[in-house]
Amino acid sequence: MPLKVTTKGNKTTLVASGPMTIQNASELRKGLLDSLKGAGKSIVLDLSGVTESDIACIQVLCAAHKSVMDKDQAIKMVGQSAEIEEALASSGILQFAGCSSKDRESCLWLASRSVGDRDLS
Amino acid sequence: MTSPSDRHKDAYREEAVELLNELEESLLELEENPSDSTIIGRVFRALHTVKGSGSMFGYNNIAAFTHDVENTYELIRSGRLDASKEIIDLTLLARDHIRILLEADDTLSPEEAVEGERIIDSIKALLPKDALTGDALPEDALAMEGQPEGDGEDLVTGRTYRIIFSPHRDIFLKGINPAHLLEDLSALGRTYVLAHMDNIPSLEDMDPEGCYVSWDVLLTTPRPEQDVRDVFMFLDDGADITISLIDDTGQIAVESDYKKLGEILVEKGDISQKDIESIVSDRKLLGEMLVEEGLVPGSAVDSALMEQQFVKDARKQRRSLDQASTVRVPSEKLDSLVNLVSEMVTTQARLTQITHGRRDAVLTSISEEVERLTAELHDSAMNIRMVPIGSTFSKFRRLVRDLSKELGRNVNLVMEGAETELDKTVIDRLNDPMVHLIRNSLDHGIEPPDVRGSAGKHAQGTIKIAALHSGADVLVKVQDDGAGIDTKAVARKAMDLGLITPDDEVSDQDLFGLIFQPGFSTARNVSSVSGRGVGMDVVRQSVEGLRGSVECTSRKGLGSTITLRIPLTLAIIEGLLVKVEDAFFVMPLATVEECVELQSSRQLEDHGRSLVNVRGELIPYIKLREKFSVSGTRPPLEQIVIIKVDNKKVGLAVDQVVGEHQTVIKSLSRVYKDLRAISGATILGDGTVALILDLPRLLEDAELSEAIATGRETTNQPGKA
Repeated sequence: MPLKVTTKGNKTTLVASGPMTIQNASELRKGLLDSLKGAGKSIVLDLSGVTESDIACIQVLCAAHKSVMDKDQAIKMVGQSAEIEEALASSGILQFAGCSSKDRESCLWLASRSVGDRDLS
Repeated sequence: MTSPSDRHKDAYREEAVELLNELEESLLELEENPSDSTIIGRVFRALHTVKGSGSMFGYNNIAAFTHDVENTYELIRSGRLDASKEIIDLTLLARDHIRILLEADDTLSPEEAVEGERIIDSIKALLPKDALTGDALPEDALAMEGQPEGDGEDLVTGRTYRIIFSPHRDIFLKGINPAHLLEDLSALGRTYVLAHMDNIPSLEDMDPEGCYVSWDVLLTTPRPEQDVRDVFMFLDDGADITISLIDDTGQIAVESDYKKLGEILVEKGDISQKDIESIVSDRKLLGEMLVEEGLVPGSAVDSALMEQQFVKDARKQRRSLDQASTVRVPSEKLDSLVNLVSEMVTTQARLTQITHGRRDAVLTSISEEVERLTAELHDSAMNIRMVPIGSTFSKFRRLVRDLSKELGRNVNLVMEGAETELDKTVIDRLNDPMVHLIRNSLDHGIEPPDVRGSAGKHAQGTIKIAALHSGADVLVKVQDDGAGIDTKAVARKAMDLGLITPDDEVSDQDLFGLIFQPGFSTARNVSSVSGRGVGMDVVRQSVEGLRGSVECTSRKGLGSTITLRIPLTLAIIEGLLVKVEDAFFVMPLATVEECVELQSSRQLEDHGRSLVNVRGELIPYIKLREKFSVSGTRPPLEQIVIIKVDNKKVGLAVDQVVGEHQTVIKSLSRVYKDLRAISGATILGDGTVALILDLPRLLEDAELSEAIATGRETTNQPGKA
């Protein structure tokens, strides 16, 4: 599961592709930890190339979201593959209104659903 | 054996047929009141359910076709489009098209497919331009009304469970994917899944292979609790699971959603809606307050709210099911029940007969008890088959509407006695004759508005369909206030056909009877609607096939009434049992006028006809002994049973009149299908078979053989049985 990181000024873009399941969870966590260390204020996550996903990796992304929030950075998701949508739906996460009770609007998944693909342009 | 999916499909088809009938009725109502939002809502919901369940059971063509029609009604519902006559016309066509699709199991011939496209294109041409772009309609259209989405899921009822599923941290390492368990739960019924993600730590602190998520699942399922537990069977110690029953079908539903306090106050005029709103908008919801205070996490409030909504929905569905607490039973099962009860009646008759000979008080009392119970059982079994005739009546609304349009008539259809109940089989078989009669009334009866106007009548004609009880029969009348029957035209036609001669003096009543003869039509033009001279003949045959009769009265210029007299049930009749030598015969008691002794002084022979003088009236009679070639010698004193069929009195000479008999009709096997004078058989108490006479046919045969006999100048014409 390659994770491509590009930083331009304040904006860091993370592009994940290929399978993103329990097998890659450690790798994903490590990759995210490394790239977030040097990341700018604004982080963009592009998951449109993900071919497979499950709850384990979704948790890792939620954890990354939490870390970013703690550090006063902003993270948002652009592009989401159908496979991720499916994993979210089957895990009951789409019914969910955000992990942080203080800032529900910031939820990675919900925000990406309402903003949609328009941000890709 | 049908597979479960076939059964579901059958159920869908049945339901869809009902929905389409409802749709038709609602559309006809909508035509009268095009702005009634309740009716529009009904039309919309019917379409929505046909579409939703259709796609669920694989009727994708139906779903796709209905989708476009449904969209139109969404526009009407939201006030962006008027329910114009054109749209209603097209929707009726669309409804018929869906019906065709349904019957053809969702497949279409190319011509029908083109017709479907034509309907949709015509509908789309009537829509406002902006409504055509994209899938503009909100998918949650029904949700706005608080209706559950009609995707077939709302068919699920049963108990509702709350399942709290908290996997242990190491569940992934055991090779278990919680998502699969959630899927297994969804397979059991309707689920609502909510994930709690509050426990996910920051990236730094997390074990990427540990599970931090837990779930609340609400499940409504008809399956037992054990099935729910079995989903987690292989989990061992992998998770904490709490399953609790939160809503039980068995419980009496508590009316929890009575009006809210504010609603009652507004309704009673104690406070205005505006004041209530301003107060309420300032107030924070309990959930919001709790979350703000940090007392509970947001997801816990979500979970509780979700549970509230879910149970409410489940109860609502159950209530709507309870309201219609009827059981669908295939009619074959009912037929077999009626058959068994009929056997029971026969057996009971034997018991009664035997008991009579024994003079045993105990046996007699048991026999009487059995007789009473059998009679009750028989009544209930027959009652189950009874359905109100109104369901058939309402179908005619559409017929009248379409036909009057086609023929340029202005007709008001009035229905009376729709609640009158008749045997289901009888009702089904009444449909075709009724269609013929109504077509006839419209085509020959009701005049065009201008003709009516010049005759001093109201431009709008009236056709009345009425049903009422009359003894063991039901009378179904089709009445119109049209031109009436021209007796002269009937007489002319009858002479052309050789049915009467110019010298015959025929009463009006007899002339009206002639219109039921095969090939009889006085219409000058053969239209697509009627005039081919098959209609009335078919009506008579179908009604006689139901052991009923048909009668016509009419006054020129004022209108006609056709009355169908139909027996309540087909399975059992009150009969009169007669005997010729060793053979028994039964005739419907309703046709019997009287029984007289055949004294030799009363007998006459006239041109090969046997006549009997009954109080000065000469009545022709048929000798059953000759008719059925019964061997043996005639007894010195015969009996004559006088019957009345088609307003004609005829006698039947028999050896002995046995008496009334509760006759359970058994149909004869196909081998005897060409027998004309016998309509069936019945088994008597002692096991003997008695034949049931088909009186109209018997009379026809007699008239025929009489004509032959007259030609041959002989009175001994052996009948054909």
